[in-house]
Amino acid sequence: MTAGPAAASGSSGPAAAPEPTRPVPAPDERSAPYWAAAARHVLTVARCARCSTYVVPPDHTCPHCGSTDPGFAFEPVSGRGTVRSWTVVRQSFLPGFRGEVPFLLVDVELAEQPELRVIGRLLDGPDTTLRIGAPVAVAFEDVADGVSVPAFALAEPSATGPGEVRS
Amino acid sequence: MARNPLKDSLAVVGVGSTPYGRDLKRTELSLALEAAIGAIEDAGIDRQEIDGVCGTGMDPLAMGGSGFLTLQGALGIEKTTWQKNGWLGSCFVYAAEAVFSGLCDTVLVVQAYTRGPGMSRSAANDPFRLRAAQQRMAGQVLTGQSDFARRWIHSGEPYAAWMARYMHDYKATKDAFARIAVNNRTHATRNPRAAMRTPITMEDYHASRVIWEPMQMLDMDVPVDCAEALIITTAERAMDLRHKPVYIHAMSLGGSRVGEYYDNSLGWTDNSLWISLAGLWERSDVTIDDLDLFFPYDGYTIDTVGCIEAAGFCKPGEAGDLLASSWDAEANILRLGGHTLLTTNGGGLSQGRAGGFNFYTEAVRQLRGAEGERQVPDARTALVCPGSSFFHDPASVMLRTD
Ligand SMILES: [Zn+2]
Repeated sequence: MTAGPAAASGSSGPAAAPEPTRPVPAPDERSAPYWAAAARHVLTVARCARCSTYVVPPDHTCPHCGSTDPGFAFEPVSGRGTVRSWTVVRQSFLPGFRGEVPFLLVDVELAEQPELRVIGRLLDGPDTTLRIGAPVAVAFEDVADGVSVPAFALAEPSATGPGEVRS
Repeated sequence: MARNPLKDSLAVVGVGSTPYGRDLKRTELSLALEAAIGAIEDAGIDRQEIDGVCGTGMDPLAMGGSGFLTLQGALGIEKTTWQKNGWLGSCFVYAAEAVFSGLCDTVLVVQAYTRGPGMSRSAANDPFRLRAAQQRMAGQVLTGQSDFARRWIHSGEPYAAWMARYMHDYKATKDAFARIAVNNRTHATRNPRAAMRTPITMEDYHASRVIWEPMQMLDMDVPVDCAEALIITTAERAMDLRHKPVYIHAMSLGGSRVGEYYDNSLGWTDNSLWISLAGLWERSDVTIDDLDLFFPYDGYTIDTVGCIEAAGFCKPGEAGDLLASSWDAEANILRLGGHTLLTTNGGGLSQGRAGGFNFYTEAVRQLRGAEGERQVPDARTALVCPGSSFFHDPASVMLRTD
């Protein structure tokens, strides 16, 4: 057989293996504070210590001010935002997610900063009637003992939040 | 205009393609070799004339992959002065650069694609999905500092979100996407290499299974086993060879500030696809009005819409109207601006997924003018845009003949 997942694993092939379950986050040194906050049902976003811009994901430089020493720190955010786009996943091509379909993924622009985008499931379910610009608020899925994954739920329009998202 | 010192100084002189199939039960290397030998024989050169090899870099070299090391040995090519692994659209550009710069004179470029064994759903073979699957099978988990944004949308779903957003912003309907799917399938019915040759209608498109709303089955390319190869040399050498030379007139890659995956949060017209095509037009004497053939990337139909708009056939957001007015209802194909034909081999959507590399070989065959009943009359220019997903590896290449 050709190279690929089966050859890479050295196993007899995934067909014989039990269906894997949804993978859980595996924090590393840098992401540990993010997951620790998520476990407490607090959404955090990395913020540049030089220019105070929120950055997702935090990389080695700040894309806003260009600092190569951005000193990113995870800070709590409101978790409020608006739907920028979405898709309902009816079929998953990855093991671990096949038992989860259908689910709805939202691309959310957070209220804190233009273009600050986070992707998550919408916990209202796959049959939710959505529109672009709909207000959402962070919610959490408790996927394992002490492990929570940020997601979203439809929210009431906020007086202080953004309205219709810009084009 | 930008500098373009390589204009028309290089030519494609050989092409080779394997059959396309849903399960050919062959290794990637075996397919790659068949295509490579086909291209060498088509060019009519001795294989020892090849002194540069660009292979496919996706699978490990020692595991049935078709990287340059295995290819050169398996083909018995004694000496090369340039080697590289590449993929999707850009490998063609790398190879042309190598000949132009003098690092080699005659280069063999090979692109093999195989569906991943053991992946139960055929469309699971996107290179990114495959890479992720390999990591998982190797006992790794998706982790690291950059996964906050990427974790939740885990394969092609971002394209569905792009499509939803495009439809919202520009009030587009699914008919625009349907026309692309039908156009490609109609062309594929006449292409003996195509994996999908049963004609489809707009109604078939609309009735196809929804995978990631609003994206449907017929919005997605068809995973197959296949390989494509071609040979590039100098225009001077091409004059002595058996086929009418197909000249490389202009090329451009594209890169944007926001690089990979869904992190491509740039606006619709700011991503690398637009950058690549703008770079091409800045280097090309051939204009959009001169274009006989256009091969816009079609990994997903939303890619094709982006490519058509980025190429300048219409303003951003106007592809729906353009495709409606360009529709030849009798032939069930598109003629952009009443003239330019799209994806005459069926592309990834219907011939089968080759990362757009089958655009190059099809364009060369059509520009040679000897495709029999498939031949587009008087085709002299072709714009090839393979691998032009929004975020990775877009290439734009203008090919022409005399
Ligand atoms: Zn900064």
